[in-house]
Amino acid sequence: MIGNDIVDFNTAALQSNWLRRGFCEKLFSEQEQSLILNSQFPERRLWLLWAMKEATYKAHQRRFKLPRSFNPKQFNCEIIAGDKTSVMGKVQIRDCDYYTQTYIGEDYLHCIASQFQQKKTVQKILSHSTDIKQELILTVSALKKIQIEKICIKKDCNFIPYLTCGGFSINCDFSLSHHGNFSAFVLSLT
Amino acid sequence: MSDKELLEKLKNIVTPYVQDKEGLENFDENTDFLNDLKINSANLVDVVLDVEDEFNIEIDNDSMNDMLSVLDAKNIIQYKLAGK
Repeated sequence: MIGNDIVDFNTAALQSNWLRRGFCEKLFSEQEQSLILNSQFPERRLWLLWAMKEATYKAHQRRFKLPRSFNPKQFNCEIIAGDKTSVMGKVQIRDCDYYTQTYIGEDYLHCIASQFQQKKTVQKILSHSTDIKQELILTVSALKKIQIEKICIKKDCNFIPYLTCGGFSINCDFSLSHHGNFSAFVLSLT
Repeated sequence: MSDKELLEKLKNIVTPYVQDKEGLENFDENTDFLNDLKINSANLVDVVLDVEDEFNIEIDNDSMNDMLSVLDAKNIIQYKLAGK
Protein backbone atom coordinates (compact mmCIF):
# COMPACT_ATOMS: atom_id res chain seq x y z
CA MET A 1 0.00 0.00 0.00
CA ILE A 2 1.06 3.59 -0.54
CA GLY A 3 0.51 6.89 1.22
CA ASN A 4 1.48 10.46 0.49
CA ASP A 5 1.70 13.81 2.21
CA ILE A 6 2.23 17.34 1.00
CA VAL A 7 3.41 20.28 3.11
CA ASP A 8 3.02 23.89 1.98
CA PHE A 9 5.95 25.67 3.66
CA ASN A 10 4.22 29.06 3.86
CA THR A 11 1.05 27.58 5.33
CA ALA A 12 3.05 25.46 7.77
CA ALA A 13 4.91 28.55 8.98
CA LEU A 14 1.59 30.31 9.57
CA GLN A 15 -0.22 27.35 11.15
CA SER A 16 2.45 25.91 13.40
CA ASN A 17 4.98 27.31 15.80
CA TRP A 18 7.46 24.45 15.83
CA LEU A 19 9.57 26.14 18.50
CA ARG A 20 6.66 26.02 20.92
CA ARG A 21 7.47 24.15 24.11
CA GLY A 22 6.41 20.51 23.80
CA PHE A 23 5.73 20.61 20.06
CA CYS A 24 8.76 18.65 18.94
CA GLU A 25 8.75 16.43 22.03
CA LYS A 26 5.22 15.20 21.31
CA LEU A 27 5.91 14.45 17.64
CA PHE A 28 9.50 13.30 17.40
CA SER A 29 11.87 10.87 19.12
CA GLU A 30 15.09 12.21 20.61
CA GLN A 31 16.98 10.91 17.61
CA GLU A 32 14.61 12.69 15.23
CA GLN A 33 14.84 15.88 17.28
CA SER A 34 18.59 15.87 16.90
CA LEU A 35 18.21 15.33 13.12
CA ILE A 36 16.10 18.50 13.12
CA LEU A 37 18.29 20.61 15.37
CA ASN A 38 21.52 19.61 13.63
CA SER A 39 20.16 20.44 10.21
CA GLN A 40 21.16 23.54 8.30
CA PHE A 41 17.45 24.16 7.70
CA PRO A 42 15.74 22.85 10.83
CA GLU A 43 12.21 23.86 9.87
CA ARG A 44 12.39 22.12 6.49
CA ARG A 45 13.91 19.06 8.13
CA LEU A 46 11.06 19.01 10.64
CA TRP A 47 8.42 19.06 7.89
CA LEU A 48 10.33 16.40 5.99
CA LEU A 49 10.18 14.05 9.00
CA TRP A 50 6.56 14.98 9.65
CA ALA A 51 5.58 14.20 6.03
CA MET A 52 7.45 10.88 6.23
CA LYS A 53 5.38 9.97 9.28
CA GLU A 54 2.09 11.13 7.74
CA ALA A 55 2.65 9.37 4.42
CA THR A 56 3.64 6.18 6.22
CA TYR A 57 0.65 6.45 8.56
CA LYS A 58 -1.64 6.49 5.52
CA ALA A 59 0.07 3.50 3.88
CA HIS A 60 0.05 1.55 7.17
CA GLN A 61 -3.55 2.41 7.99
CA ARG A 62 -4.71 1.26 4.54
CA ARG A 63 -2.62 -1.90 4.68
CA PHE A 64 -4.11 -3.12 7.94
CA LYS A 65 -7.48 -1.31 7.68
CA LEU A 66 -6.82 0.41 11.00
CA PRO A 67 -9.06 2.94 12.72
CA ARG A 68 -7.71 6.49 12.79
CA SER A 69 -5.17 7.45 15.43
CA PHE A 70 -2.72 10.22 16.20
CA ASN A 71 0.47 8.49 17.19
CA PRO A 72 3.34 10.20 15.35
CA LYS A 73 5.92 9.03 17.87
CA GLN A 74 5.32 5.40 16.97
CA PHE A 75 6.67 6.12 13.49
CA ASN A 76 10.45 6.16 13.59
CA CYS A 77 12.15 7.99 10.76
CA GLU A 78 15.56 7.42 9.32
CA ILE A 79 17.14 9.35 6.47
CA ILE A 80 18.97 7.02 4.13
CA ALA A 81 20.26 9.32 1.42
CA GLY A 82 19.48 12.57 -0.24
CA ASP A 83 20.35 16.07 -1.18
CA LYS A 84 18.60 19.42 -1.05
CA THR A 85 15.73 18.44 -3.32
CA SER A 86 15.29 14.69 -2.93
CA VAL A 87 15.44 12.52 0.17
CA MET A 88 15.15 8.76 0.54
CA GLY A 89 14.05 7.56 3.92
CA LYS A 90 12.83 4.62 5.93
CA VAL A 91 10.07 4.64 8.53
CA GLN A 92 9.47 1.90 11.03
CA ILE A 93 6.16 1.33 12.79
CA ARG A 94 6.01 -1.69 15.10
CA ASP A 95 7.60 -4.47 13.02
CA CYS A 96 6.84 -2.94 9.62
CA ASP A 97 9.24 -0.98 7.45
CA TYR A 98 8.22 1.55 4.83
CA TYR A 99 10.31 3.38 2.29
CA THR A 100 9.82 7.04 1.57
CA GLN A 101 10.80 9.26 -1.30
CA THR A 102 10.43 12.99 -0.79
CA TYR A 103 10.74 15.79 -3.28
CA ILE A 104 11.63 19.15 -1.71
CA GLY A 105 10.79 22.22 -3.74
CA GLU A 106 10.93 25.94 -3.05
CA ASP A 107 7.41 26.20 -1.68
CA TYR A 108 6.43 22.70 -0.71
CA LEU A 109 7.58 19.16 -0.12
CA HIS A 110 5.87 15.98 -1.20
CA CYS A 111 6.50 12.59 0.33
CA ILE A 112 5.43 9.14 -0.90
CA ALA A 113 5.64 6.11 1.39
CA SER A 114 5.45 2.51 0.29
CA GLN A 115 6.04 -0.96 1.68
CA PHE A 116 8.28 -1.63 -1.29
CA GLN A 117 11.45 0.14 -2.22
CA GLN A 118 10.75 0.16 -5.95
CA LYS A 119 7.13 0.97 -6.61
CA LYS A 120 5.72 2.17 -9.91
CA THR A 121 3.46 5.08 -9.25
CA VAL A 122 1.90 8.01 -10.99
CA GLN A 123 1.61 11.21 -9.03
CA LYS A 124 0.32 14.70 -9.53
CA ILE A 125 0.86 17.88 -7.57
CA LEU A 126 -1.51 20.74 -8.20
CA SER A 127 -2.24 24.20 -6.95
CA HIS A 128 -5.17 24.01 -4.56
CA SER A 129 -7.67 25.71 -6.84
CA THR A 130 -7.65 22.63 -9.06
CA ASP A 131 -9.82 19.76 -7.93
CA ILE A 132 -7.41 16.99 -7.03
CA LYS A 133 -10.20 14.42 -6.72
CA GLN A 134 -11.38 15.11 -10.27
CA GLU A 135 -7.78 14.85 -11.42
CA LEU A 136 -7.47 11.44 -9.76
CA ILE A 137 -10.71 10.28 -11.38
CA LEU A 138 -9.47 11.41 -14.81
CA THR A 139 -6.22 9.50 -14.34
CA VAL A 140 -7.94 6.32 -13.17
CA SER A 141 -10.44 6.60 -16.00
CA ALA A 142 -7.64 6.74 -18.58
CA LEU A 143 -5.63 3.94 -16.96
CA LYS A 144 -8.45 1.49 -16.37
CA LYS A 145 -10.53 2.52 -19.36
CA ILE A 146 -13.61 3.28 -17.29
CA GLN A 147 -16.01 6.10 -18.10
CA ILE A 148 -15.33 9.16 -15.93
CA GLU A 149 -18.97 9.54 -14.90
CA LYS A 150 -19.01 6.03 -13.44
CA ILE A 151 -16.13 6.66 -11.02
CA CYS A 152 -16.80 7.93 -7.48
CA ILE A 153 -14.57 8.51 -4.48
CA LYS A 154 -16.06 7.22 -1.23
CA LYS A 155 -14.80 6.75 2.32
CA ASP A 156 -14.95 3.56 4.36
CA CYS A 157 -15.72 3.21 8.08
CA ASN A 158 -12.12 4.16 8.93
CA PHE A 159 -12.37 7.26 6.73
CA ILE A 160 -10.03 5.73 4.17
CA PRO A 161 -10.99 6.83 0.65
CA TYR A 162 -11.67 4.24 -2.06
CA LEU A 163 -12.91 4.31 -5.63
CA THR A 164 -16.09 2.81 -6.97
CA CYS A 165 -17.34 2.14 -10.48
CA GLY A 166 -21.08 1.84 -10.83
CA GLY A 167 -21.39 1.05 -7.13
CA PHE A 168 -18.65 -1.60 -7.03
CA SER A 169 -15.32 -0.81 -5.44
CA ILE A 170 -12.31 -0.66 -7.77
CA ASN A 171 -9.12 -2.34 -6.60
CA CYS A 172 -6.89 0.70 -6.67
CA ASP A 173 -4.06 1.74 -4.34
CA PHE A 174 -3.94 5.52 -4.03
CA SER A 175 -3.59 8.36 -1.55
CA LEU A 176 -4.71 11.99 -1.54
CA SER A 177 -3.21 14.93 0.32
CA HIS A 178 -3.71 18.66 0.49
CA HIS A 179 -2.23 21.49 2.49
CA GLY A 180 -2.35 25.24 1.94
CA ASN A 181 -2.00 26.01 -1.76
CA PHE A 182 -1.06 22.51 -2.83
CA SER A 183 -2.74 19.19 -3.29
CA ALA A 184 -1.45 15.88 -4.54
CA PHE A 185 -2.32 12.31 -5.27
CA VAL A 186 -0.25 9.20 -5.79
CA LEU A 187 -1.58 6.13 -7.55
CA SER A 188 0.09 2.74 -7.66
CA LEU A 189 0.58 1.21 -11.10
CA THR A 190 1.32 -2.31 -9.89
CA MET B 1 -16.42 21.37 36.23
CA SER B 2 -19.69 20.93 34.37
CA ASP B 3 -19.83 19.33 30.93
CA LYS B 4 -21.00 22.61 29.50
CA GLU B 5 -18.07 24.50 30.97
CA LEU B 6 -15.62 21.90 29.74
CA LEU B 7 -17.05 21.97 26.21
CA GLU B 8 -16.91 25.76 26.17
CA LYS B 9 -13.22 25.70 27.14
CA LEU B 10 -12.53 23.06 24.52
CA LYS B 11 -14.29 25.09 21.85
CA ASN B 12 -12.11 28.10 22.66
CA ILE B 13 -9.02 25.93 22.46
CA VAL B 14 -9.74 24.42 19.04
CA THR B 15 -11.14 27.57 17.39
CA PRO B 16 -7.79 29.01 16.16
CA TYR B 17 -7.00 25.72 14.37
CA VAL B 18 -10.39 25.18 12.73
CA GLN B 19 -10.27 25.29 8.91
CA ASP B 20 -14.01 24.85 8.44
CA LYS B 21 -15.66 27.49 10.61
CA GLU B 22 -19.14 26.12 9.80
CA GLY B 23 -18.23 23.06 11.83
CA LEU B 24 -18.02 25.30 14.91
CA GLU B 25 -21.68 26.27 14.66
CA ASN B 26 -22.80 22.80 15.68
CA PHE B 27 -19.99 22.22 18.14
CA ASP B 28 -20.94 19.40 20.51
CA GLU B 29 -19.66 16.05 21.78
CA ASN B 30 -20.08 14.48 18.36
CA THR B 31 -17.89 17.04 16.62
CA ASP B 32 -14.90 15.40 14.96
CA PHE B 33 -11.65 17.39 14.90
CA LEU B 34 -10.64 16.14 11.46
CA ASN B 35 -13.87 15.51 9.58
CA ASP B 36 -16.05 18.32 10.93
CA LEU B 37 -13.55 21.03 11.86
CA LYS B 38 -10.89 20.10 9.26
CA ILE B 39 -8.12 20.73 11.76
CA ASN B 40 -4.77 20.09 10.12
CA SER B 41 -3.15 16.98 11.57
CA ALA B 42 -0.01 18.92 12.56
CA ASN B 43 -2.26 21.20 14.65
CA LEU B 44 -3.66 18.28 16.65
CA VAL B 45 -0.50 18.51 18.73
CA ASP B 46 -1.30 22.20 19.43
CA VAL B 47 -4.76 21.19 20.63
CA VAL B 48 -3.14 18.64 22.95
CA LEU B 49 -0.60 21.21 24.26
CA ASP B 50 -3.31 23.84 24.78
CA VAL B 51 -5.49 21.32 26.65
CA GLU B 52 -2.51 20.49 28.89
CA ASP B 53 -2.00 24.19 29.68
CA GLU B 54 -5.65 25.06 30.16
CA PHE B 55 -6.51 22.14 32.44
CA ASN B 56 -3.07 21.74 33.99
CA ILE B 57 -2.87 18.06 33.12
CA GLU B 58 -0.45 15.89 31.18
CA ILE B 59 -1.66 14.07 28.08
CA ASP B 60 0.56 11.03 27.55
CA ASN B 61 1.14 9.51 24.10
CA ASP B 62 -1.50 6.80 24.57
CA SER B 63 -4.16 9.39 25.38
CA MET B 64 -3.06 11.65 22.52
CA ASN B 65 -3.46 8.65 20.22
CA ASP B 66 -7.25 8.72 20.65
CA MET B 67 -7.91 12.45 20.88
CA LEU B 68 -9.69 12.90 17.56
CA SER B 69 -13.08 14.23 18.60
CA VAL B 70 -14.68 16.43 21.23
CA LEU B 71 -16.00 13.36 23.04
CA ASP B 72 -12.53 11.74 23.06
CA ALA B 73 -11.01 14.94 24.43
CA LYS B 74 -13.74 15.34 27.06
CA ASN B 75 -13.27 11.77 28.30
CA ILE B 76 -9.49 12.15 28.50
CA ILE B 77 -9.67 15.51 30.30
CA GLN B 78 -12.20 14.21 32.83
CA TYR B 79 -10.16 11.06 33.42
CA LYS B 80 -6.97 13.07 33.96
CA LEU B 81 -8.70 15.62 36.20
CA ALA B 82 -10.17 12.82 38.33
CA GLY B 83 -6.68 11.36 38.80
CA LYS B 84 -5.19 14.62 40.06
